[in-house]
Amino acid sequence: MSNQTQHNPERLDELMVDAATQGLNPQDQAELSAALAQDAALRTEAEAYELAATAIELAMTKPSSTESLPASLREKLLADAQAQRPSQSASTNPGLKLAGSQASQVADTGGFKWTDGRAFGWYAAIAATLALCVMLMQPNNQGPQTITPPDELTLQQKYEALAANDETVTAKWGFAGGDANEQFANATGEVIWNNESQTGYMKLNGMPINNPTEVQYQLWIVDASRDTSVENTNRVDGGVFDITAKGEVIVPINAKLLARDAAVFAITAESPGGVVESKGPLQVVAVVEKEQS
Amino acid sequence: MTQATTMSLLQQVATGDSRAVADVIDKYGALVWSLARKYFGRSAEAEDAVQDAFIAVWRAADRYDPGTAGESTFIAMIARRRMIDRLRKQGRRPTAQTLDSAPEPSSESESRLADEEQAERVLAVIDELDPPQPEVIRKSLMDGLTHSEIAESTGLPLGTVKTHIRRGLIKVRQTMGIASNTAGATS
Repeated sequence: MSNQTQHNPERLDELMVDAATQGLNPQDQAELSAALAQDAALRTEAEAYELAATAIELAMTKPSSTESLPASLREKLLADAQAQRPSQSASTNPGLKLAGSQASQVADTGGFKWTDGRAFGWYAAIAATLALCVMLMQPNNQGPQTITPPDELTLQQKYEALAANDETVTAKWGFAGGDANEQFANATGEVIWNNESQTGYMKLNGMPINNPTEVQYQLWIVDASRDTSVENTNRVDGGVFDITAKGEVIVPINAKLLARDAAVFAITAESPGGVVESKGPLQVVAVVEKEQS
Repeated sequence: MTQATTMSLLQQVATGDSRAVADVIDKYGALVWSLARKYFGRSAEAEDAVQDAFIAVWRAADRYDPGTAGESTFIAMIARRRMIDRLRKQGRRPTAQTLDSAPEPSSESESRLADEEQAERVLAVIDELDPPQPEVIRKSLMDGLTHSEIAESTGLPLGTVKTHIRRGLIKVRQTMGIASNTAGATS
């Protein structure tokens, strides 16, 4: 039985109208996002409600020209837009070239766009889990992350401090399966994330060492609060990083956008510098489990 | 540029045209800013909300279909959604607290005319709804009341409030030429 059949059409319609008019609480948003992720027609439907609500709100607000965009804000917007531009073509997927003797390449199976049909296949797989998940979220910076062994006290201490926070969530890393490279089959560890501080860390074991001149790892955060009826994706770039040593490593998360409800973490292998839109495949995945209240 | 005359600004943005990015900001920045001021007042968060909204706009640019909605409506939809979501995360709710008017998109009289025509059609649809549907929709989308609050203030059952809002949205959708994709939305 598909996940789609588990959704009550009347319930979904109510959620879509609520989302368009008053917003949704995190639980309802997760429920709607999970349903939308599986059904393109539903996404169109949800967007139609949003457009109608927006049109009404704009129509009821008499236009004026009294206040223009502040010049300083305009400059920030231009800078933001520049930062969003791809550092390289997102249309290429180099596959994975690993350092040393593990230089076998991941076959480029054509890849997938996270928002296309194949992506939704994966998406659907996590969507059901999504509905059972509690979510988290954000930060902002740039540039590749550097791996730091846990024996470097500061990073380890930061990890422990964040993990000790009651608001921090933890998810376990595991092999993504599907099109993922078998070299990631033994990847383990956990990821922690704190909604309040917008910080997080990955603790990874068994990841192949990468050659940064050929491939870098990139973290993606699936943010359940992002309505895919409005945006074409609900994944957030969590930063580019390298694995330069065997054994356990800790990597700080460097999300580029707000991730209000982090539900799933996924790692892909990309061209150096990372990409704006990954074609996958996902190699390692961690799903935040719902708290039992 | 031939392309510029046949493609919308958002479509140009989607192709990587950096000049179109600046054009979108110049044309619709005041509109998004007005929404932020409406939802967040004069707080510093209004600026953050505008930045957040435009990032979402850039990401959604390749999905814009001129046949479905005007560019200003599409951009306002994305911005509004992000702002409502931001408020919800803070445990707040959207309220029309500061502005009684919003700047219209600057320049390009043709698109402005289209926006005005759409606004007139939308208002006509709302006015034609049977009472108390117009009042319910106004309370929801202009006053920022939750459906429960509308039910409380009008004495209507919550389910009736939701039905009124839903039917109003569907009417407007039909006016805008946005067809329903699900049987559930047609009733």
